[in-house]
Amino acid sequence: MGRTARSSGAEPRRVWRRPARAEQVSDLRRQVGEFVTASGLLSPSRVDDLKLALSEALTNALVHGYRGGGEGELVVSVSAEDRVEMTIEDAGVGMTPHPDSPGLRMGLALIAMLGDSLDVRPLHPSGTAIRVVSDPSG
Amino acid sequence: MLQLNVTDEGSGSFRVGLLGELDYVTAPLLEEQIAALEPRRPRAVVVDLGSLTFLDSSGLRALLAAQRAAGKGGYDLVVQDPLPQARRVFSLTGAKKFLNIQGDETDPGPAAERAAT
Repeated sequence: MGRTARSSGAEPRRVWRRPARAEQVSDLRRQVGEFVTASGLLSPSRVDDLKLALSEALTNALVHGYRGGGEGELVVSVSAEDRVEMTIEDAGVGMTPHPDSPGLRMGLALIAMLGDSLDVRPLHPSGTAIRVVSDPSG
Repeated sequence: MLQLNVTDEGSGSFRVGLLGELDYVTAPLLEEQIAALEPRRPRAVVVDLGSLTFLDSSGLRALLAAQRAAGKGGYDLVVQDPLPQARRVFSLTGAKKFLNIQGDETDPGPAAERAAT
Protein backbone atom coordinates (compact mmCIF):
# COMPACT_ATOMS: atom_id res chain seq x y z
CA MET A 1 0.00 0.00 0.00
CA GLY A 2 1.32 3.41 -0.90
CA ARG A 3 1.09 6.43 1.25
CA THR A 4 -2.00 8.47 0.65
CA ALA A 5 -2.71 11.74 2.37
CA ARG A 6 -5.72 12.65 0.25
CA SER A 7 -9.00 12.45 2.06
CA SER A 8 -11.28 9.66 0.94
CA GLY A 9 -13.51 10.51 -1.98
CA ALA A 10 -11.17 13.12 -3.47
CA GLU A 11 -10.11 12.48 -7.06
CA PRO A 12 -6.46 11.44 -7.47
CA ARG A 13 -5.99 12.73 -11.02
CA ARG A 14 -7.25 15.66 -13.03
CA VAL A 15 -6.72 16.92 -16.57
CA TRP A 16 -7.16 20.50 -17.79
CA ARG A 17 -7.46 21.20 -21.53
CA ARG A 18 -7.25 24.86 -22.48
CA PRO A 19 -6.70 26.92 -25.64
CA ALA A 20 -3.05 27.96 -25.91
CA ARG A 21 -3.53 31.55 -24.79
CA ALA A 22 -1.53 33.51 -22.25
CA GLU A 23 -4.57 34.47 -20.19
CA GLN A 24 -5.07 30.79 -19.28
CA VAL A 25 -1.82 30.57 -17.33
CA SER A 26 -2.91 32.32 -14.14
CA ASP A 27 -6.12 30.31 -13.85
CA LEU A 28 -4.29 27.03 -14.46
CA ARG A 29 -1.76 27.93 -11.75
CA ARG A 30 -4.58 28.58 -9.31
CA GLN A 31 -6.53 25.43 -10.15
CA VAL A 32 -3.51 23.13 -10.09
CA GLY A 33 -2.38 24.73 -6.82
CA GLU A 34 -5.76 24.10 -5.21
CA PHE A 35 -5.85 20.50 -6.46
CA VAL A 36 -2.36 19.68 -5.17
CA THR A 37 -2.96 21.47 -1.87
CA ALA A 38 -6.08 19.34 -1.34
CA SER A 39 -3.96 16.19 -1.75
CA GLY A 40 -2.05 17.03 1.41
CA LEU A 41 1.10 15.55 -0.17
CA LEU A 42 3.15 18.74 -0.43
CA SER A 43 3.91 21.56 1.97
CA PRO A 44 2.68 25.04 0.96
CA SER A 45 6.14 26.10 -0.19
CA ARG A 46 6.45 23.00 -2.40
CA VAL A 47 3.01 23.70 -3.86
CA ASP A 48 4.38 27.16 -4.68
CA ASP A 49 7.36 25.49 -6.39
CA LEU A 50 5.04 23.32 -8.47
CA LYS A 51 2.97 26.37 -9.50
CA LEU A 52 6.19 28.11 -10.54
CA ALA A 53 7.26 25.06 -12.57
CA LEU A 54 3.82 25.04 -14.22
CA SER A 55 4.07 28.74 -15.05
CA GLU A 56 7.51 28.30 -16.62
CA ALA A 57 6.38 25.27 -18.64
CA LEU A 58 3.22 26.96 -19.91
CA THR A 59 5.14 30.12 -20.78
CA ASN A 60 7.66 27.98 -22.68
CA ALA A 61 4.82 26.38 -24.61
CA LEU A 62 3.28 29.75 -25.48
CA VAL A 63 6.53 31.53 -26.33
CA HIS A 64 8.38 28.76 -28.11
CA GLY A 65 5.81 26.17 -29.12
CA TYR A 66 3.07 28.48 -30.29
CA ARG A 67 5.05 31.56 -31.26
CA GLY A 68 3.41 33.33 -34.12
CA GLY A 69 0.00 32.76 -32.56
CA GLY A 70 -0.84 29.36 -33.99
CA GLU A 71 -3.98 27.63 -32.86
CA GLY A 72 -3.39 24.95 -30.30
CA GLU A 73 -4.10 23.50 -26.93
CA LEU A 74 -2.41 23.26 -23.57
CA VAL A 75 -3.00 20.05 -21.64
CA VAL A 76 -2.07 19.85 -17.97
CA SER A 77 -2.40 16.48 -16.19
CA VAL A 78 -1.78 16.12 -12.48
CA SER A 79 -1.92 12.96 -10.43
CA ALA A 80 -1.59 13.09 -6.67
CA GLU A 81 -1.52 9.66 -5.11
CA ASP A 82 1.79 8.50 -3.60
CA ARG A 83 3.52 11.53 -5.13
CA VAL A 84 2.62 14.45 -7.35
CA GLU A 85 3.20 14.03 -11.07
CA MET A 86 2.44 16.97 -13.35
CA THR A 87 2.66 16.80 -17.14
CA ILE A 88 2.31 19.80 -19.45
CA GLU A 89 1.77 19.05 -23.14
CA ASP A 90 1.52 21.31 -26.15
CA ALA A 91 1.31 20.62 -29.87
CA GLY A 92 3.58 23.47 -30.92
CA VAL A 93 6.80 23.51 -32.89
CA GLY A 94 9.07 22.75 -29.95
CA MET A 95 11.42 24.76 -27.80
CA THR A 96 13.93 26.05 -30.32
CA PRO A 97 15.52 29.16 -28.77
CA HIS A 98 14.78 32.44 -30.51
CA PRO A 99 16.25 35.86 -29.87
CA ASP A 100 13.06 37.77 -29.00
CA SER A 101 12.14 35.49 -26.10
CA PRO A 102 10.46 37.51 -23.32
CA GLY A 103 11.87 35.33 -20.55
CA LEU A 104 15.34 34.83 -19.21
CA ARG A 105 15.88 31.63 -21.22
CA MET A 106 16.08 29.82 -17.94
CA GLY A 107 12.62 28.28 -17.76
CA LEU A 108 13.72 24.66 -18.06
CA ALA A 109 16.68 25.12 -15.75
CA LEU A 110 14.35 26.63 -13.18
CA ILE A 111 11.82 23.81 -13.56
CA ALA A 112 14.63 21.30 -12.99
CA MET A 113 15.34 22.92 -9.62
CA LEU A 114 11.71 22.89 -8.50
CA GLY A 115 10.78 19.20 -8.58
CA ASP A 116 12.45 15.92 -7.67
CA SER A 117 12.68 14.88 -11.32
CA LEU A 118 12.13 16.41 -14.74
CA ASP A 119 11.53 14.72 -18.06
CA VAL A 120 11.18 16.55 -21.38
CA ARG A 121 10.23 14.68 -24.54
CA PRO A 122 9.05 15.61 -28.03
CA LEU A 123 5.56 14.57 -29.08
CA HIS A 124 4.60 13.33 -32.54
CA PRO A 125 3.76 14.79 -34.96
CA SER A 126 4.60 17.98 -33.04
CA GLY A 127 4.78 19.34 -29.55
CA THR A 128 6.54 18.88 -26.26
CA ALA A 129 5.69 17.12 -23.00
CA ILE A 130 7.28 18.28 -19.75
CA ARG A 131 6.82 16.05 -16.73
CA VAL A 132 7.69 17.15 -13.20
CA VAL A 133 7.55 14.80 -10.22
CA SER A 134 7.49 15.94 -6.60
CA ASP A 135 7.86 13.42 -3.82
CA PRO A 136 5.79 13.94 -0.68
CA SER A 137 7.03 16.59 1.72
CA GLY A 138 8.65 15.49 4.97
CA MET B 1 -3.94 39.81 -12.55
CA LEU B 2 -1.70 42.66 -11.46
CA GLN B 3 -2.57 46.01 -9.99
CA LEU B 4 0.03 48.77 -9.85
CA ASN B 5 -0.28 51.63 -7.40
CA VAL B 6 2.12 54.52 -7.99
CA THR B 7 2.71 57.02 -5.21
CA ASP B 8 4.70 60.25 -5.58
CA GLU B 9 6.47 60.54 -2.24
CA GLY B 10 8.09 63.88 -3.06
CA SER B 11 11.69 64.93 -3.73
CA GLY B 12 11.79 62.67 -6.79
CA SER B 13 10.90 59.50 -4.88
CA PHE B 14 8.23 57.17 -6.22
CA ARG B 15 6.75 53.98 -4.84
CA VAL B 16 5.35 51.39 -7.26
CA GLY B 17 3.27 48.89 -5.34
CA LEU B 18 2.52 45.58 -7.05
CA LEU B 19 -0.61 43.71 -6.03
CA GLY B 20 -1.21 40.29 -7.57
CA GLU B 21 0.95 38.25 -9.94
CA LEU B 22 3.93 39.22 -12.08
CA ASP B 23 4.25 36.80 -15.00
CA TYR B 24 4.36 36.62 -18.80
CA VAL B 25 1.00 38.39 -19.10
CA THR B 26 1.51 41.14 -16.54
CA ALA B 27 5.27 41.82 -16.77
CA PRO B 28 4.82 44.40 -19.59
CA LEU B 29 2.65 46.49 -17.24
CA LEU B 30 5.61 46.98 -14.88
CA GLU B 31 7.96 47.81 -17.73
CA GLU B 32 5.46 50.37 -19.07
CA GLN B 33 5.06 51.92 -15.63
CA ILE B 34 8.79 52.27 -15.10
CA ALA B 35 9.10 53.87 -18.55
CA ALA B 36 6.25 56.25 -17.71
CA LEU B 37 8.18 57.53 -14.68
CA GLU B 38 11.27 58.44 -16.72
CA PRO B 39 10.01 61.89 -17.88
CA ARG B 40 9.47 62.80 -14.21
CA ARG B 41 13.20 62.38 -13.63
CA PRO B 42 13.00 60.15 -10.56
CA ARG B 43 15.77 60.12 -8.00
CA ALA B 44 14.59 56.92 -6.34
CA VAL B 45 12.00 54.26 -7.14
CA VAL B 46 10.82 51.65 -4.67
CA VAL B 47 9.13 48.61 -6.21
CA ASP B 48 7.07 47.29 -3.34
CA LEU B 49 6.52 43.50 -3.58
CA GLY B 50 4.79 43.20 -0.21
CA SER B 51 1.51 42.24 -1.91
CA LEU B 52 2.96 40.33 -4.87
CA THR B 53 1.73 36.75 -4.48
CA PHE B 54 3.45 35.20 -7.52
CA LEU B 55 6.61 35.83 -9.52
CA ASP B 56 8.12 33.75 -12.33
CA SER B 57 11.08 34.25 -14.67
CA SER B 58 9.09 36.52 -17.01
CA GLY B 59 8.27 38.75 -14.03
CA LEU B 60 11.87 38.59 -12.87
CA ARG B 61 12.97 39.77 -16.29
CA ALA B 62 10.78 42.87 -15.87
CA LEU B 63 12.36 43.61 -12.48
CA LEU B 64 15.84 43.23 -13.96
CA ALA B 65 14.83 45.52 -16.84
CA ALA B 66 13.64 48.08 -14.28
CA GLN B 67 17.00 47.79 -12.52
CA ARG B 68 18.79 48.39 -15.83
CA ALA B 69 16.56 51.39 -16.57
CA ALA B 70 17.45 52.85 -13.18
CA GLY B 71 21.14 52.40 -13.89
CA LYS B 72 20.82 54.16 -17.23
CA GLY B 73 18.63 56.89 -15.75
CA GLY B 74 20.97 57.50 -12.84
CA TYR B 75 18.50 56.79 -10.04
CA ASP B 76 18.23 54.21 -7.29
CA LEU B 77 15.80 51.32 -7.55
CA VAL B 78 14.90 49.25 -4.51
CA VAL B 79 12.94 45.99 -4.54
CA GLN B 80 11.17 46.02 -1.21
CA ASP B 81 9.53 43.38 0.99
CA PRO B 82 9.33 40.38 -1.36
CA LEU B 83 7.18 37.57 -0.02
CA PRO B 84 8.71 34.07 0.39
CA GLN B 85 7.69 32.88 -3.10
CA ALA B 86 9.43 35.82 -4.79
CA ARG B 87 12.44 35.47 -2.50
CA ARG B 88 12.72 31.85 -3.60
CA VAL B 89 12.81 32.93 -7.26
CA PHE B 90 15.54 35.49 -6.49
CA SER B 91 17.52 32.84 -4.67
CA LEU B 92 17.15 30.04 -7.24
CA THR B 93 18.05 32.28 -10.17
CA GLY B 94 20.90 34.18 -8.52
CA ALA B 95 19.02 37.44 -9.17
CA LYS B 96 19.74 38.57 -5.61
CA LYS B 97 23.15 39.68 -6.86
CA PHE B 98 21.66 42.05 -9.41
CA LEU B 99 18.78 43.57 -7.47
CA ASN B 100 18.83 45.92 -4.49
CA ILE B 101 16.47 43.91 -2.28
CA GLN B 102 15.36 45.29 1.06
CA GLY B 103 13.25 43.55 3.65
CA ASP B 104 14.57 40.12 2.67
CA GLU B 105 14.37 37.71 5.59
CA THR B 106 18.06 36.89 5.17
CA ASP B 107 18.75 40.55 5.81
CA PRO B 108 16.06 41.63 8.26
CA GLY B 109 17.51 45.07 8.74
CA PRO B 110 17.74 47.16 11.86
CA ALA B 111 14.00 47.46 12.49
CA ALA B 112 13.56 43.69 12.69
CA GLU B 113 16.67 43.36 14.82
CA ARG B 114 15.30 45.92 17.26
CA ALA B 115 11.98 44.10 17.39
CA ALA B 116 13.76 40.83 18.20
CA THR B 117 15.61 42.21 21.21
